[in-house]
Amino acid sequence: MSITSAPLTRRALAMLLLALTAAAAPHAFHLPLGIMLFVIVCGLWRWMVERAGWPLPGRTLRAVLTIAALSFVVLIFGTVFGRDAGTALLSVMLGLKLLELRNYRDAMLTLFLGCFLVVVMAFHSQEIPVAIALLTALLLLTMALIELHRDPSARGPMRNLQPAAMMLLAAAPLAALMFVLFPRLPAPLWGLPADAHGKTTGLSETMSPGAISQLATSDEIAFRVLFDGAPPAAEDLYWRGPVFWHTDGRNWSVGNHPGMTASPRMRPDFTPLGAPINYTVMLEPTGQSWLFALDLPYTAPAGGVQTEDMFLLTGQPVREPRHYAVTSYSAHRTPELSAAQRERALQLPDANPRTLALGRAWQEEGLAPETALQRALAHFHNEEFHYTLSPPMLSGADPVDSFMFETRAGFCEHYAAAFTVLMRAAGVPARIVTGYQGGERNPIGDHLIVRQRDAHAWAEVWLPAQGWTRVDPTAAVAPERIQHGSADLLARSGINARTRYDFGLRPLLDRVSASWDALNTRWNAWVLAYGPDAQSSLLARFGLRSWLAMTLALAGTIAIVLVLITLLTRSARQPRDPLVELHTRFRSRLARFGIMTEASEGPIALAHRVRQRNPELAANVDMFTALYVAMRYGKKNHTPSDLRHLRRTLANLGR
Amino acid sequence: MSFSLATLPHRLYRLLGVERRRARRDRVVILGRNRIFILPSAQGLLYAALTFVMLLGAANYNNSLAFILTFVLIALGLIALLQTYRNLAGLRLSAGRCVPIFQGETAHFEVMVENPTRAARHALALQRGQDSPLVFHLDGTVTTASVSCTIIVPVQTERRGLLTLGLLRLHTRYPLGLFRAWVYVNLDFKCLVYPRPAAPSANTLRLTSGMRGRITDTDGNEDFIGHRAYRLGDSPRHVDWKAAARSDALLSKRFGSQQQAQCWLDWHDHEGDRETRLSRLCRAVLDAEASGMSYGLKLPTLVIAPAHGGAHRHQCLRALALFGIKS
Repeated sequence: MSITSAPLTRRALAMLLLALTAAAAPHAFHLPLGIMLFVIVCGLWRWMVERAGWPLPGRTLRAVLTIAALSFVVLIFGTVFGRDAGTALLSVMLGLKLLELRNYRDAMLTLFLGCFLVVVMAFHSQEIPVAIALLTALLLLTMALIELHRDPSARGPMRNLQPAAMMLLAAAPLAALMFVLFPRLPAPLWGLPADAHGKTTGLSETMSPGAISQLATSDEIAFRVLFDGAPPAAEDLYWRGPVFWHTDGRNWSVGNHPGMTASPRMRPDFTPLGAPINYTVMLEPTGQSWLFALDLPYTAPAGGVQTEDMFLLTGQPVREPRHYAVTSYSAHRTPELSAAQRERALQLPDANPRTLALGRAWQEEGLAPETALQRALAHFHNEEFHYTLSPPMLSGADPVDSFMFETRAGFCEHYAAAFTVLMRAAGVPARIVTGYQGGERNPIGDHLIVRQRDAHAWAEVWLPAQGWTRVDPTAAVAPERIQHGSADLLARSGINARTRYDFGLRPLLDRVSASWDALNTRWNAWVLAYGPDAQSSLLARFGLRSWLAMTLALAGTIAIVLVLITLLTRSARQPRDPLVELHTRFRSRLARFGIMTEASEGPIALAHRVRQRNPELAANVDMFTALYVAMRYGKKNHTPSDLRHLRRTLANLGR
Repeated sequence: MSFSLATLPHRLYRLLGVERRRARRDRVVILGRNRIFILPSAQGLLYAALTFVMLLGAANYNNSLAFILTFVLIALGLIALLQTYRNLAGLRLSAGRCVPIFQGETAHFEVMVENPTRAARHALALQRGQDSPLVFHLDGTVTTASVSCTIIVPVQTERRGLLTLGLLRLHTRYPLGLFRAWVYVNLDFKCLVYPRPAAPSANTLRLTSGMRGRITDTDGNEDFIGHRAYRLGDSPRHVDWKAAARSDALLSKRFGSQQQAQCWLDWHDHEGDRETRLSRLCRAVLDAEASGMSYGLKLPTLVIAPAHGGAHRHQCLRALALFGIKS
C-alpha cells in the first residue's frame, strides 16, 4: 500500500544497523557480556538475512529466544526494574526486535528503541567522551530516519549526513533553551531504585580506624575549587565536612543531635575575624547530603543550610555534580558552649583505659586546656609515632590504647581519634572533623583539584579564649602531609601510579591532564551541575522566580527561535525576472477567456493559437507577444519604460 | 486502512469537508498555508510518548546529560514539523496535457509539479483517491526560475465524455516520518474520452457517395509519384540520396494517395441504442481515417463536413464523445 508497509531497502537496513550499533556501543562498558553478545548476534543475523538470504527466525524460535533472554536478565539482576536491569532489558528487546524487522513500521520502532538506549546511557555516565558518543549516535539515528523517508534513488553515500547535521544544528538552540528554562524538580518524582546512581567513593557518616586510609590511594576527584582571589596557603586548606561527637571507643558517628540539623538562626554560630575568602566549589556526586567548604563557612549556598556544627548541609543527597559559591573565614571566634554541648563534647565510653588514665592524670595536674593540648601534640611528636598509609589492624576492645601504646603507626583518623579521646579525658571539650585537606592547583583552569586521597580527619577543641579551635595532630607527626599534600606523600611511599612510568613525558602528560581536567571542570560546572538550585539562582537574575514564569519564558523563547529558524532557513526563491512574471500574468489573463496555456508552449505559438481561437483578442495579444519577445530574446537590454509599456499592453488586454 | 488514533483528526477534517472546501478547482495551485494540513503520524505520537517518558526519567534523576539528549530529541521533532511542512510549501501544481483516449483505456493526466525554491523536495507522494501513490522528488533550483517534473496520473476510464481528474492528495512524511503533511488539490483538469470503438466489421463503413479518384498532394506514405525540391522539415527518409549524390541539389521524394474517396458517416445508418451507435460511428471514423478517404460525420445535432487528417479525426471523435452530454 504505502511506505508504512513497504519492505526496507538494503541501504536503509545498513544505515539502521549502523545507527543502532552507535547507540548500543557505549553500553558495552557496563552491560553483562552475554547480553551484549546477544544483541550483536541479533544484529549480525538480521544482516545475514539481507546479504545471504538467511531466514528470519520463526514465531516459535522468537518466543523461545524472548523467554530465554528475559530469564537471563532476571537471572543476572534478580529483577527487571532499576537502572541496570532496565538497560539490559531494553538492549534485549532491541535485539529481539531486530529479528522481526521487516517493514517500515518495525524499522521506526527499532530506531525509537535506539533513541531510548542513547538517553538511558546518560544514567550510567555523564563524562564528556560519553556525551560525544551519544550525540554522534543521535546523528546516525537521524540519518537512518531520513534514509527511511527519502527517495531511494538519491545518490551519494553521505547524502543523509548533510540534512541530519542541519537538523541537529537547528535543534541545538532549541535544546539549549529547554535545558536552561525547563523547570527542574528539587526532589525526585518517585523513589529512585537502589542502583539509580553509580557507587560513590568518599567520606561516610561514621568514622572508624581505616575508614579514611582506604581512600588514600584514590585519584578520584572529590571536588574542584575556584577562588575569587588568591588561594590560601596549603596548610590552611581544610575542607570541612561532617563533625563527629559520639564515640563508642572505636567508631565515631555524627550522632542524632541538633548539630546535624539546620542551625535554627540560619546564621553561623561564630564571629568572623580577618578577611573573607570567596570561592566556588564544583562538587562531584557523593551520595551524601553535606557540602564541603573551607574551614569555616560563613554563608550557605542556594539549597544549602548552615548547621550548628558549622558545616553545610543540603536537602537531598548529592547525586549529580553540584556547583556552589561560599564565603569562609579562616579566623573566627565561637560562642560559649551550652551545658548539653559540653556534655556531648566530653562524652567518653569506658574503653581505652590507658589513654583515659593518661588524660585524667593531666587534668589532675591542673593543666590549662592550652597546655594539655600542647602536651598531647608534643607526645605525638616526641614519641616514636609513625604516619603510614597501611596501618596495622587494631583489633580488640581498646583500639585507641593499642594505637597509643603498641602499634604507634596510623593514618590521620587514628591520630585524630586518639587526640580527641585524650583531650576529653583531660577535660577539654573536643570533637572530630572529617573532610579534605589540601588540593593541587591546575594551572590551566586556575582551580584547585581536591581528590579522594586528600581525605583527612582532624580535631577541634574548645578553648575558653577563642572557642572551637582546629588542632591537627597529624601535623605533629607528618607535617609534610599538611604542607605538600597527599600526592607528595604518596610519591614518597611509592604508591602513586602516576609516578611509576613517565618516559620523560611527565611535563607533557601533566599539561594534557591539566587541560583535560580544566575542560571537565567547565563541563561539570556549566552542564552537569545545572540542577534546581543553580537554575533558580541563574533565572532569578532574569526575574524568573516561579515555574509559571519559567514555563512561559520557555514557550515564548522557543516560539521566537522557531520563527527565527524559519526565517533564516527559508528556502529562497530564485529572484523572478519581471518579464517572466508579466508573462505569467499574461497567461492567467488568457485563462479568463478559456485559453489554457501549457508551460511548454512558447509565446509565439501561444499567440498564434489565440489568433485562431479568439480573433477579437488578437490585436492586443500580438502586440504583447511582439514586445515580450523583443525584450526577452532581443539583443537590446530593455529599459524600465519598455517594461511599463508591456504592463500597459497587458492591462489593455480584455478590456 | 486500519483505524488508529493518528487518523482521527484526519477523519474529522474529512467529515467536515474542510479539506475539500479548501481545495478550490483551479488550473494552477500554489501550496500555501491555507491549503497544507499537518498532523503527527502514528510514529510521531509514539515518539512524543517516548520523549515524554525520557523527560520524566531525566527529571526524576535530575540527570543533566539525559536532559540534554531528551531536549535534542524534542527539538528534532519540532524541526521535523517545520521541515515536513516546508517539503510541501511553495510547490506549484498545474494541469498539463492529457491525450484523449478511448473509453476503457487508461487516461494519463500529466500533472506538472514545479519547485520555485532552492530547497529540494523529497519523497512527495501524489495520490488520487485510493489509488497507489506516485512517489517522486524535485531538486531545488540552481539557476533556473523553477524545477519541474511531470507526474503522470493514470485513471481507468469507464465512460465516454469528459473525465475529470478529481481530488488529488499530495502528501509527505519527509524527513523523519514523525509528521505527515498533506494537501488536497482539485485541479481543473479534464480528459476527453472517446467512445469505445466497436469491433471491426464489414458494415460499419458505408460509402454513400461512391468513389471519386483524385490525385492529391498529401505527402502521404503511399506511392512514389515524383520529386520536388527539398524543403526544410522534410523527413530525411524521403530525401532521394542517390539523386543528391549525382547532383548538388537535394530532392525529396513525393508520395501520394492515388485515390481519395469521400464518404459520410451517418448516425441514422446504424441501429441500436445511443452508445452502440456512437461506438460503431467511432469505429467507422477510425476505419475511414485509416483507409485514407475523406469522411464526414452526421449526427442528429451536428454535421461535420468531409475532410481527412488528425485534426478532423479528433473533431469527429470529440463530437461523438460529447454527444448528448451537457458541457
